[in-house]
Amino acid sequence: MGVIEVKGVTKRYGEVVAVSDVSFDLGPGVIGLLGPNGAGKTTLLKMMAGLLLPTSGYVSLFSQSLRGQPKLYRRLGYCPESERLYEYMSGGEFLTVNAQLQGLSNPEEAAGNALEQVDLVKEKDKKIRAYSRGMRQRLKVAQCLLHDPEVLLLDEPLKGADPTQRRILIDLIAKLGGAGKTIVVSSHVLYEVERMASQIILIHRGRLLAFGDFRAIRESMDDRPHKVSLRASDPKRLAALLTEKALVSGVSLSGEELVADVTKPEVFYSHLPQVALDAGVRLTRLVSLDEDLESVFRYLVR
Amino acid sequence: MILSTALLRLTGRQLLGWHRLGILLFLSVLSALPVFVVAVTLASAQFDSDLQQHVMSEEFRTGFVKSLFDFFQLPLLYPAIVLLLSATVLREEIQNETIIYLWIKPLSRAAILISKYTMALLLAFVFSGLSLLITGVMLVNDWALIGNLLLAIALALLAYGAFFFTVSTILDRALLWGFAYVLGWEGLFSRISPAASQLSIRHYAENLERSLLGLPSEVSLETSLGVLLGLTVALLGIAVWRFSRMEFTGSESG
Repeated sequence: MGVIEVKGVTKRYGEVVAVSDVSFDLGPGVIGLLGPNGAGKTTLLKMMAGLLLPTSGYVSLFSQSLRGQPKLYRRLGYCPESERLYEYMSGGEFLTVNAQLQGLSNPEEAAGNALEQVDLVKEKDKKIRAYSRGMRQRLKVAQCLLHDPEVLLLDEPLKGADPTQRRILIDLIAKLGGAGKTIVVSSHVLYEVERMASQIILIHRGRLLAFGDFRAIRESMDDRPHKVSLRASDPKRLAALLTEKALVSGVSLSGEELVADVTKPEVFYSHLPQVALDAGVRLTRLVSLDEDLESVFRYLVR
Repeated sequence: MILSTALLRLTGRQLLGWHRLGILLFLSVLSALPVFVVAVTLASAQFDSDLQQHVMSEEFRTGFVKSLFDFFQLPLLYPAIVLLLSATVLREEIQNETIIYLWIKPLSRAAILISKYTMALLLAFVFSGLSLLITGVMLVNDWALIGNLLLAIALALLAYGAFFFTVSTILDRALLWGFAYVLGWEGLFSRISPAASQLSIRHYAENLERSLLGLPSEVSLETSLGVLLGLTVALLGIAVWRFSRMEFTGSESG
């Protein structure tokens, strides 16, 4: 049994089904919760954080339900997507108050450590109302690190952050995941999640489309052609040979670029060098267009 | 533990912070109104010897304290003070979505609610008590009278606070509904209909005050006390029940 267990969870708002019969078990590491806006990511995270009750099914943390067991929040940190904070406080005060509410023995020290982790020390005395969107995001992440929880649920933590802030947060999340924490990060920006998560939960319209190692998910899609982009000295000749030898199911040409639809990648990759060599065609670039999460997502939501 | 000291401090700061300057000024003006009325009455008596003699009499002064209490402070001032504090303290957190930072802490929903209620009540009692204390000291030197009135305020505030607090866990516009109750139900309807009067907090608060002062009352001291305390416990029970089942839907789109 995992750290977080989601079993047959459905959430309805009247006639609207926000999450439909979703199940998975999560263990330590960084897990990306992916889906377009409105897919049900936030609803799912809120149910995992005990802030929403499933209409049916159950969610457990360390084999216990969060509802009615507030002590479990000592082991859980939750970063909401909402940017609403106590605007009249400074960032440092906000963290100190949160540390006090957590019942920590040294709230000021915990607040200082959390500020350092998200690189907000210089802005700690500034009122939150004067914080930029990126600073707010980092402050929200900092409040879930105060009590060093084993589980972190982060709802769109990179939203609104500039590239430098994103890098800081991505590095931090990856480091915490590497340290054995269970971290669920929701996002609709796939390349960001790819940089920190080894596993993905893909949801669309409230349904679980895929769960597991994203490369394994991609590899399991053998019935769909993979797209490979090639640049070659003579793309027309190469395209003709690949088609003739049935290594591709289709090709499209655009200048020096050739995009091939490949049904059996292992056969294609093992034969390609010899085919090019025999034809006297020089390959200058070879890129699989399907290795990123974006393509996995596009395929699965189709 | 049912009370969280950290949450009491946070609530105190929320209620007394500069960001609530408008409400605080309004509360201060409300609380100072009886003091102003007493000061004007005493000052105007300086210019008329007959009036001064009348105003200086103990009978007038004791009557003045009771009249102020019965016709302004108890039916209007104190409910308004406790309404402004108790109906907003929780509702603001819910509307601003900051309630989430309380719900994800190792605190029971009951502890969150009771801590907020306690701080709102404490501040309401400070504003209300100071107002009564100052007017009382200006007019009479009867500490038994002032003490009994303070006790009546405390018990009335408990029940009013619990009522407005509970309304704020059920309805979005708790402040508006609270004023509708104070002015509409208690101020108008219950004065017209004796039956409606039986269903108002003011009725039992007034009778409790009369019993404490040894004046004839429609309801016994025990009944008034029992109703006010019982109502407080029952209403807080409903509020805790509602609050414990509340979900955080929020404004997010993911």
